[in-house]
Amino acid sequence: MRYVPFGRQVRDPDTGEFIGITNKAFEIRAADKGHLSLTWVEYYGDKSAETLGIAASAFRDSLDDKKLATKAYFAIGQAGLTRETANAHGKAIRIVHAPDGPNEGHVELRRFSDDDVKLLEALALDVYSEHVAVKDLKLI
Amino acid sequence: MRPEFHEFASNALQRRVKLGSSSSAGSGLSAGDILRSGLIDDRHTFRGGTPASPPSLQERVFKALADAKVWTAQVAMHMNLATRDRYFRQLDLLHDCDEWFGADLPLNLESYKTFIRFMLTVDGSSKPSLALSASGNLLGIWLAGRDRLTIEFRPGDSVEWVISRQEGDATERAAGTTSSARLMANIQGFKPETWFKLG
Repeated sequence: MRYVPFGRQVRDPDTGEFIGITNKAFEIRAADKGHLSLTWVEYYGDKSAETLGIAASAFRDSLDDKKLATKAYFAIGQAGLTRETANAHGKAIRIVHAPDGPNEGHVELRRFSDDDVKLLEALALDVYSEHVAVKDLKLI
Repeated sequence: MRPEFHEFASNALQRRVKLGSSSSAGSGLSAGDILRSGLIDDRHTFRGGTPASPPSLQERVFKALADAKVWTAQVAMHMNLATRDRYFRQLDLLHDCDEWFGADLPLNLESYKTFIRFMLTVDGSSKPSLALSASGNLLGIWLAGRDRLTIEFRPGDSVEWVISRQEGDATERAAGTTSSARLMANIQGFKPETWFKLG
């Protein structure tokens, strides 16, 4: 799963209601340390409300400010479909387990670059299409 | 201009003057940035001052919003009040410091200018969602059912666009980079009237 701050979300222009995520959610950011950074939910057990909360908490603890914003979301996608979609856009990515301090379920997308906006859009719309609000997570 | 902004900008300039041109104070406003913004001028003289520190996130965000709103006033006669207010409300939400992530940059004024200039060429009823890239470029997102157009507005009237369009069970996707003036010609094959009418 991938952390999506408010600025990378699609919100209703009038009501501010959450609609989805933008392709910029998959832009490599400073905190990614060179590779697209994701958290592997199943590292913490079968996917459930509990393991989503544990994974989100582990991600939070790996941040410098140890803080998740209240309007942020996590976007959830499958590793196989991520690889398949990247391959379809000419990127032979590798998904590598790379623990990041307290986030032992941290994974990196190696050989991934964010220069193909069609790939980023496909990830945002077709792969990471399950969204969970931070405020709805059982953080520990 | 709000007095508290003037005060923080003056303090920031004062700190940078003491530091000279060094960037050791970290990222953010330089004296040149503040002077170029036109929000204060270079006739001020400073003596003494507080120990150097980079502008806080709140200061940088405040300046970005102030710059955008001051610039908007110059073109406000071409916009209706409701549209202007909606943009401001969206920008305010995007710059909520409690929602800020990592090293993200606040709105790039030149990107915002590209957005506004483009929006002045399309039908006034068009209501994009707005988002920000990590580098502070503004994104407009238009939705129509499962079809979506995303435009990244870049400095200098440059845009990057990407369209996702459902055709039966398949998703067609196209993207390109062009000038905002050429955008409609670039996306002509994807029924741009789905998202907005030409003005």
